[in-house]
Order: sequence, then structure tokens, then C-alpha cells
Amino acid sequence: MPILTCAGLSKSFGGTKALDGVDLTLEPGRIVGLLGPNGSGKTTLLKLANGLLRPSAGKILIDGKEPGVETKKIVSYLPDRACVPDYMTGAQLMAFYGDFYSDFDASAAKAMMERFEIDGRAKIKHMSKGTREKLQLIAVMSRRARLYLLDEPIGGVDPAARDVILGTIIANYDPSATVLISTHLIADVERVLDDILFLKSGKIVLAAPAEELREKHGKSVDEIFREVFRC
Amino acid sequence: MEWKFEAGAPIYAQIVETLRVKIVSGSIRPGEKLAPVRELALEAGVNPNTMQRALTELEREGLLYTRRTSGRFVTEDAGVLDAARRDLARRKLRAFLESMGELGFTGEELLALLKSENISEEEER
Amino acid sequence: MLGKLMKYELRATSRTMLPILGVMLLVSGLANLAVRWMNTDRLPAALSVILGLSMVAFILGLISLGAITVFVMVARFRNNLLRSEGYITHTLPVSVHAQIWSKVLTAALWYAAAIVTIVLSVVLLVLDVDFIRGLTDALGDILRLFTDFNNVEVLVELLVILFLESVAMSLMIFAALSVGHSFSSRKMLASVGVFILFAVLTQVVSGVRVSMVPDAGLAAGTETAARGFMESWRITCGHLALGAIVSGGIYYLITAWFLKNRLNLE
Repeated sequence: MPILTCAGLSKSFGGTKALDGVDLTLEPGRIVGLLGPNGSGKTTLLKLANGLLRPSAGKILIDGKEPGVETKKIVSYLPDRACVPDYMTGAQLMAFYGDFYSDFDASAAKAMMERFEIDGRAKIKHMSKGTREKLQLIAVMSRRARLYLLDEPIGGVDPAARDVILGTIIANYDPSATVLISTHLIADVERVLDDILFLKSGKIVLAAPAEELREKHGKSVDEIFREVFRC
Repeated sequence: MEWKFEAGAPIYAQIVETLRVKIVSGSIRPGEKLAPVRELALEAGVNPNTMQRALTELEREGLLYTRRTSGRFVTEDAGVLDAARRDLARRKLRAFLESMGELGFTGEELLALLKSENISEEEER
Repeated sequence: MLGKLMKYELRATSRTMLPILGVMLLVSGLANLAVRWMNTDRLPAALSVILGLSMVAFILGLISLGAITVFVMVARFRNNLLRSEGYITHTLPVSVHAQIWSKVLTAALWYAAAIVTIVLSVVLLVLDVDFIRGLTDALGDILRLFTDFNNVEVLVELLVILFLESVAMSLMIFAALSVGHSFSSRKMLASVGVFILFAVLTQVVSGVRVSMVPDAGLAAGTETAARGFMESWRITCGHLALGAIVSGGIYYLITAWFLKNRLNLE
């Protein structure tokens, strides 16, 4: 059974269509890239999957259910902005996640914090932007979720942090879980992806395994992306 | 992320190539145990499914084998290793000859060039 | 899950509320000393003016404590549910109902704490030997008042009404914030506008209701004092409770619907 299904999924804001009839299924055990330029509807799709928005038309199902309390138990979401309560310390934030998510692995979180050399006693408001982003990623990746939805996890971080983030995603790979990474920085992520989704003006214009695309076109996914989205 | 990949070819095929060189050159020794897929994927900075596919391919070629409980190992069969090494050498040689042909070198000229290269290298040492 | 939410609500709000309430009590104590000093005649005039002014400031502070508490609750609701922190709050595996109740109950708790602090501050301010003697007398009187009416019921009812009113007020504010923040821009301005609209509507409706259901008990002054008081008190309580429950219920539904279906995080 697919972990995520969209059928004719549309979302309009006022008169503009952010998503326009998206049909999509994600299977377990895949790392999927949701690729598209800014404003193509990536964030809208992830917000719909998290129940932060309601569809204007069509359906989005997670594990066969509409987004709600039950689906939130199995979805681990990294929003595209820093939004952790900054009056907490790093350790308090992890305890917060542990309190609400039964799939949270506190020892994994602790190990990652040590690896990233983040002091759990420091207040988040005193941390640098990069450290905050890593902390949020640790909280999200420390869950043993069925579906990870990562919105621009490497947007605006330096190359070293990018490697750490992609490494974390690979190291946490679980054959029963699905990871959906939304990004416009394709060259950086394409080697960790199983499948590629190209989103253009709210529509899926291409969906294929990454290796198949490279083999068929004799080009990197990044190069194919540039062709698809050339203005 | 240590490993470099070319843009145009499937990544699994490039991993197969890299590992094949490491195995036949002995930089991964015969009989040596390989790290788990996830660790190798992490080292190469690639998708674990891609790494798995590459390892399966090398198993098919006989360069790797799996012991059910203890993991994945490099073959100790000298015959297989030598054949793979020669095969690799032949392919590289063919590519080399092709590009030399493009530069207009004949077989005779190349042999002479190789000899003089060899001598000057020994002199340097 | 409500318990866990409450834990984090209390933790987040006490960061600001405890210092505010603490400072209030501390200043009351200092003001008490100032009053004693002022009462001695050896004070230069200028100093006495300054002390008098700071006394006025203190009393204003005391009066605004309620407003400050409301402000802190508004800020918490807005930051936690309607701004970027909402990305985390709304993806917790918790129903929107538990989210609203945790906010409402936490607010009720702090309103109670604010009232207690105001009472304590006033007591602290005028604390004096004479006053304590007066206080014990007054307490005796109050106690006698209750025993005269032969019950503690009035007090319990008063507390219930206060609680219901605080819940209804919180829900009206939360509903206005939830509706206002579904706008694409000028969210806070829209929230204030919606709040004024809600407040006016609530006033109009309750006015109409009162005029249609005349308070018989309050008008009846002919019966014995005790019976007349109790009866009119009951009727008033009943009206207030019904009004709070109905308006609170409506604003609850509005809040829940907008949080669920019209969330518009920045």
C-alpha cells in the first residue's frame, strides 16, 4: 500500500492555482526528490500532506487516511523555515518531541547532537542559524516515522552542513519508510534520490526513477531539470 | 562525500566501476568483509538502494559473495579476480588505443613512445 | 494529550507571567513601606510628591494587570498557533480541540492568579497593624454573611460564573484571532476588527435577551431580604452562565473551524 496518494489534488489561493490536479503515489523504502523552482507548489503540497492546508479539490491520503491526528503520528515534517520555540534549550526541544511522538528515539537524538557538537543546555535563541537548522533536522530525523517530509532541508546552508544533512538522511534510511525531499538545489541532492518528481506551475510534469532518467537521457538530473524548466 | 561521479551515466554503474578497480587492484583485499550497505552508501554519499544495486551487480560478476549471516565479502577466487583484472585492463587499453588513434598514432609509434616513457620514468627514480 | 499540552502551555506562559506577578507583589511590599514613611511628617515635600506619583503608577499597574494577562494569553495563542511556531504545534498528533482547551484552561488559570495577585497586592499595600485587626473583623463579617445565607453556595456559584466568563472571553478573543489570521495580510488588524465585531454582536444579543426575559427576581424587593437576594442572585447567575456557555460554544466552534480549515501560516 502506498504511503502517500494524491488524486486530482488542487489548491487555489484566491484566483491563483498553487497546485493543479496532482496525481501521485509514493511507495515505502524510497527517497524521493520533489523538484521544482520556487513557487512551483512544493511547499503547498507538503503543507497539504500535513493538514496545514485543506485541498480546494481532489484528495490527499497518507497511509489511506486524510491528514489528521492519526497521520500526524506517522509523518515527520521539516518545514521550510526555522520555527522551533526559541525559548527552549536543545535538550528541552528533544524532550518536547519525545513527549508527543511515541516513535521518537531519544538516544538517537542525543547521539546526533553529540556528533554535531550541539550543547543541549544552550538556549535555541542563542544558537546560530545553521545550528538551529541542524537541531530541527535532528528532531525530525530522530523519529522512526513512516513518512518524512523535508521541505528545503539544504536551502541556505553551507556545503559542510549540506553534507551532514544528506549524510543524516542516508544514515537513517529505513526500507519501510519513505523520504520526500523538496528542493530546487538538484545537483546537491540527486545522488541520494531513488525517484524524481518534477513540479512545474502546480503540475507534475515528470515522475521517474533517477537512474532511469540518467541512463535514458545521458545527463544528470540537474541538467534534465534545467532543460525542462528553461524559460 | 568522497566519491566523484560523472553527470551522464547511472550512479550504480559508476559505483560498480569504482569498486571493481578497488577489488582487482587489491585495495580491498580478497576475502575482506565489506561494510554494510548503509555505511558504504554514507561513505559514497549515495542512495542506499543505488549502493545495493551496485553490490548485487558485483555479486553477479562473482567479485563479491554473501554469507547469509555474516555479511558480504570479496571473493578469494584468484581466477575470478585475475580474469576481472585482465578484462578491466583490456577495456581501458581499448579506450586508450582509440584515443591515440584519434591523435594519429600507429602501433609502432605507440610502442616506441611507451618504451621511451618507461625509460625516462626509471631514470627519474 | 491535553495534560501534555497544558504542561507546555504553563511552562511557556509562566516565563512571562510569574515575573510580572512577582514584581507586582514586590512593588506592593515596597509601596507599603513608602506609605508608612509618608505618614511620618518628617518627609521633604518634593519626595512626598514623587512617592505620591509612584503610588499612582502602582495603582494603575495594578489595574492594568488584568489587561497585561489578557495580552500575554493573546500573544501565546498567536505565536504558538498562528505564526511560524504553528508549523510545529499543528503537526503534533493532537486534535485541534485539545489545542484550544489547553489554551483556554491555561488562560483561566492565569486570570485566577492575576485576581489573587491583585487582592494580595492591595492587602500588602495597606498592611498595617490596624489593618490586620480590621481585616480579621471583616473576615468574620464575610464569614457571617455566608453562614447567614446558610451556604457556601454563593461563593461556589460566583467562582463557576467567573470561570465560565473567563472561558467565554478567551474563546471570543481566540475566535477573533483565528478568523483575523486567515486573512492573507494585515492579520492583526483584521483580528482586532473581527474582535470588535464579535464584541458588539455579543452585546447586542445579550441586550435583546435581557429585554425579552425580564429579571423578575431582581425587581422583587418585597420579600424578605435573604430570600430576595438569593432568588435574584440565582436568576442572575443562571443568565450569566447561559450567556457564557452559548457565546463560548459559538466562539469555540468558530475557532476550531478556522484553525482546521482556514489556517494561513506565514
